Amino acid sequence: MIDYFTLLLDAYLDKELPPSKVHLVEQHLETCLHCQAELKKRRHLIELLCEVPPMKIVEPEAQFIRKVNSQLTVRSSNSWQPKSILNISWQMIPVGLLVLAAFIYSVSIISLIFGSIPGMYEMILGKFTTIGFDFSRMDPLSFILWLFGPFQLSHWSWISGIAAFMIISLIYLSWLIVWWYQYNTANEYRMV
Amino acid sequence: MSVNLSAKDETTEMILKAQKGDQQAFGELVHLYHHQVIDVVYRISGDAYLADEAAQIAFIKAWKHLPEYQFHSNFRNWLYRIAVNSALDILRKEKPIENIDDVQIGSLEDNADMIMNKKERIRVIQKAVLALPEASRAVIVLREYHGLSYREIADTLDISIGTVMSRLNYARTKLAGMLADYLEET
Repeated sequence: MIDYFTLLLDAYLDKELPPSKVHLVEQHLETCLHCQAELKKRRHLIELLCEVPPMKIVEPEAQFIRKVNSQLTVRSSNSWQPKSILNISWQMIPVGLLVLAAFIYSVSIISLIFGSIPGMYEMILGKFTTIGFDFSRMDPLSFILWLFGPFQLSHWSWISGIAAFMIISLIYLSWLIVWWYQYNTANEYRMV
Repeated sequence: MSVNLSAKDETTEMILKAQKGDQQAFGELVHLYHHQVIDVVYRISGDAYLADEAAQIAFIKAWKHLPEYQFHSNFRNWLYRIAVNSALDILRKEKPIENIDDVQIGSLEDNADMIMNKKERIRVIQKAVLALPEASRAVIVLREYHGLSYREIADTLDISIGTVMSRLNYARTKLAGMLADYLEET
């Protein structure tokens, strides 16, 4: 079992204690003979450990550097670092949603423009039929309008617009939080 | 102060160049940190040849992972982390050979008996450190021989400060027990 004061003694010896605890330890040391002896012993131990000198280098430095250099793989200056699938998918969710929203808006705007011009459908369908497609029973623009009917610009209220914006923002924000967390914790000290 | 700042700037520049693939700049970094890295792995492994091998592996790994280094931590401590892991990996594979003769001890003025006593004492201290569990050994080496703060040790070994404190306490208590004869002498 680790004695609380012994733990503090080590930190005290290493000058790693906050001032409030330094005062606490010094107060304790005034009366505790056991801790006084322990502190003295630990000071001596540190001195003793420091008697072991650094290692005599067995290999000349130039040779060591040459050996290391010979084993380095060539890394291009602008080498692309692959990202994890998780990072890519997190990034792509909001981007994908924005692209989808832009697509729906575009289709609905184009549909509205085409729909408002008299004879436009007939003209486009006529062009398609000349190259072999028979759209007499299938109207593609009507189909798209039907498909995105609920999402058409004319059906959107400002509430649904704000709600969609907030959902996309929240997803983006959550991705930013995850990215920030990974950046601050894992990236620098990845096990190597 | 300005000298330190410019040295720091130079190191940063070398790291940036090495990150972009400049092997010469990386060679400069190896030159700069070679002794410190070797010393860490030597004190953990207790064998000069294993230390040399582990240091080489550490630098090669550092080169490979250098683009991931983002200047949030001290570069030396980042290298230490790689070096400690490399040393522990090697130790798990190979049993170190004892070679206390590689240690530089004594000055010419010391007499033969003093040198022998000192040599013997160093041998015992090294044995005691090597007898510690790997986790505590890494903490004591970084603290006593490389002067890292608790925060730096925690970051280097990816452990909490509380764990650093308890491992250090364990290591010192064990060492005090193993080296009791020498502690009584002093």
